Amino acid sequence: MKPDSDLHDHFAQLRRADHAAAPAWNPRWTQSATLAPRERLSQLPVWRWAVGAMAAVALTGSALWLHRPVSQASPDLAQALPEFFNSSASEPLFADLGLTDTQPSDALLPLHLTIALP
Amino acid sequence: MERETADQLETLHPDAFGWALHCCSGDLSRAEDVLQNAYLKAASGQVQFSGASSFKTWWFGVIRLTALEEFRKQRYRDSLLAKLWSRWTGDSTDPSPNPAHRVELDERSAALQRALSRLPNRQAEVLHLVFYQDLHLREAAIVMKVSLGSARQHYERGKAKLRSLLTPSLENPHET
Repeated sequence: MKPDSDLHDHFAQLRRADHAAAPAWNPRWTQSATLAPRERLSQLPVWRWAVGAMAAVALTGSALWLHRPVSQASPDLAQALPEFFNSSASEPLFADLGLTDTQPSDALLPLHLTIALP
Repeated sequence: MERETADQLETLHPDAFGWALHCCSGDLSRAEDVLQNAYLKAASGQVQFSGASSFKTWWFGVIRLTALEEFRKQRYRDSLLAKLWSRWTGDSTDPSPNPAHRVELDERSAALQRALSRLPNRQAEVLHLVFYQDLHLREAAIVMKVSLGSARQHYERGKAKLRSLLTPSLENPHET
């Protein structure tokens, strides 16, 4: 009697069952190297499609946000900015330089350049 | 691909499917995917038979490697959320063969598959290659990429364990 014949019998039975379940031989498997990946494309897991779709939506959203139209009316700065210095009308904001019609350096000028206002 | 190689692949196809099925823990659709990927590798020239071993040994090594690659990809795809959900619901992955396939098997074959799924991987692999595929232990060692001594050790231990699993009533009379 063949040694381990009990195990051989078990495996032979399993082998017959597996062979019956085996897919039929397809000659394309050994002919076309490009067909199989295209066929498997539909078998990609759903999460890959979902991640791809979410990335596309995020890209489109950020592109739209960056290129959104800028409002045409520029704001009125006088009203928009706060008032820093508050001066009354009687008191000048800055010290007066005391400019008069004739400056102290006028005497240095040649005579023909000295303009005398009426 | 050369005509001769294609003919050899066609001849080996049923056994190759059985081996792919074993590498995929009895999952029919995964086994078909693995086998198609292996054919694609051969057709595109990614793997080539060098003649260093027998054609069957080489081809089974390719299928085993492809199944391992597919397994790693599948594990990567499994999101953390899915793992947490399965842990929460207690719906862990069953190492025993696919139920759809098991229905088609007779009781004896189903018992064998259940027993094989309870053995360590290496032991189940070497037993499948020797008893199912009729390979020599040396050829099985090449397919499994282990030394002959290691393959023999897995073979002897696996055989003893498998026998004890297949005949539980003899060893444990009180167990049903």
